[in-house]
Amino acid sequence: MTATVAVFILMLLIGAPIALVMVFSGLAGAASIGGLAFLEILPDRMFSGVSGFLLMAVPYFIFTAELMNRAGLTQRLIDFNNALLGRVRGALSHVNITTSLFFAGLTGAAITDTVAVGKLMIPAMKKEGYPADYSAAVTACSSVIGPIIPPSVVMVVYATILQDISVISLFVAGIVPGLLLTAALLFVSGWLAWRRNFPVHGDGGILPALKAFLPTLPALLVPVIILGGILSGLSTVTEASAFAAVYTIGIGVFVYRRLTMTQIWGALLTTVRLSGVVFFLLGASTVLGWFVTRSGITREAAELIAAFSDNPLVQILMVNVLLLLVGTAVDVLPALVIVAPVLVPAMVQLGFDPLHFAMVMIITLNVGNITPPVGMTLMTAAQIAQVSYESAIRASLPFYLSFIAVITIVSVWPQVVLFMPELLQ
Amino acid sequence: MLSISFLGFFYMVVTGEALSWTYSLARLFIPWIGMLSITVAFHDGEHVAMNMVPRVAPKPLAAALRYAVLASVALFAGLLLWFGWDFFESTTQYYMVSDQIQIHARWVAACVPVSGATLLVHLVKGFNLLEPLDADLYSVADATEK
Repeated sequence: MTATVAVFILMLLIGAPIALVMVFSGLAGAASIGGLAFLEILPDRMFSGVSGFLLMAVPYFIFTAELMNRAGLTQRLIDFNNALLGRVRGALSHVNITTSLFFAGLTGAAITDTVAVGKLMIPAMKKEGYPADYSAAVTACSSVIGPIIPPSVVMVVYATILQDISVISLFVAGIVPGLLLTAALLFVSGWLAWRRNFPVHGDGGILPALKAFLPTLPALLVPVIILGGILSGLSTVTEASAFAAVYTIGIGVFVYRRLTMTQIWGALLTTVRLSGVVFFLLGASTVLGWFVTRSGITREAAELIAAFSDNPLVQILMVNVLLLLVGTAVDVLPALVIVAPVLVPAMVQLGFDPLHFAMVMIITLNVGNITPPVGMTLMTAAQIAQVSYESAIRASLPFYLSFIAVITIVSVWPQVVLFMPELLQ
Repeated sequence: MLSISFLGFFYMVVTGEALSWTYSLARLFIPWIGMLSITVAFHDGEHVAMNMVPRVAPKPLAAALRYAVLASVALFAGLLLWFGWDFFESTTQYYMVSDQIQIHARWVAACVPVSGATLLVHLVKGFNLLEPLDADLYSVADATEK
């Protein structure tokens, strides 16, 4: 165990890719058990880590999101939301959040949402007099909705690591917490708009909204196809995601008339690059997971949590604080593949519902996207807004309250998560 | 792979029956896509790392740390190739794609040593292997603005 921890910390500090950190700390653990001969677990573990059938959905989801961006859907979503909320004070701030909600059903990755929405919304918000740091903050904070509303790459990865949970249940369980988070962010946005006297955007109303809705309709059918196909039993997650990708090419070429062969090729290249990051983390997590399973660390973690308190409420809130701390230092997917194999069995051992704890973990770790020191999404938004990372963090502080509120609600009342899956069973 | 999965879905919708070979064939592709995409992500400096220490370290130390990281990438690639070759040679099973078609699992297991060798070739990029291509992150949004 000492060798594993030492290698893990050392490699993390020198700036090695996190997946590589996991591979070498796992190999150090293996070598400490059975000597250098045990290094031969590497190819077998890496191979099994990237071979899960469910994983085919990862490149398909990323590809669909890339195609949607290139087909000009973001601008149409913004137009639709502007028509809906244009007359309200602080309209663009709210539009930023609601656009992320719609975008979440299409992509499921926070950084994709930040780049696509931020590039269009941040300059527009600055032009209407919103502070640049606030524009970056609301863009980054609202993009956290992405991995919580289905489809979600994070959920596919979670279901792959912990094979006793269904990705369909995760998708369904994410709907209510995602909507709750949207409502909480809109509440903070509304309160800040009133306090700081943010401007209205202009005309809006039912008719312009309907007019703007029609061009977005073909794209908004994507989540309906994915979820409808899966829930009706007509298709598996991978088949539905493949169909969504082909459908997106169809509407991008024939309906929106924006997708060219060059853009489809570009989307494919980006998909391979981003999928590589996910696959490496998954392969690496199975190398480290091999050692974690044999080390008994899961049982020790459960005993440690139980030693602090036997009250489930205190236990889950304590784990939330730990997850928030992990999320501040490590990006979502690496954090998930490091922490989940240890914490999830421990929490299930303590009596928590696996689906409930899964959603608590996914939401809490995702908040790490926008918290210092490693808030990748907030850093990206700050770059787009051309403000310092520090000022974007300050502007995000009010939104942190909505995340804390939602995490607490979801942790304390499991029915918020379990309601939808139970309803659809 | 996309067309294989799509065909499986389309066939199910039209006929109500599963086209089982599409599932089996797609399974053969996924390890190749997974392993080779890891090398592509390395090539383009996409992998996530914590760079706080190298960023604040004095220049000579930061340079030494970069050498250490590059060495660890080389070691990983070497281990993948070395042990991956054994993995390839020891694979004996067959994948049943259909009644008529059987594919030796070595064709799939080969993705491990091939990925190790590919990553070793990428090492000729030197430190550029560790540099992220940030500019590409924004190309997506730029495309939507046009």
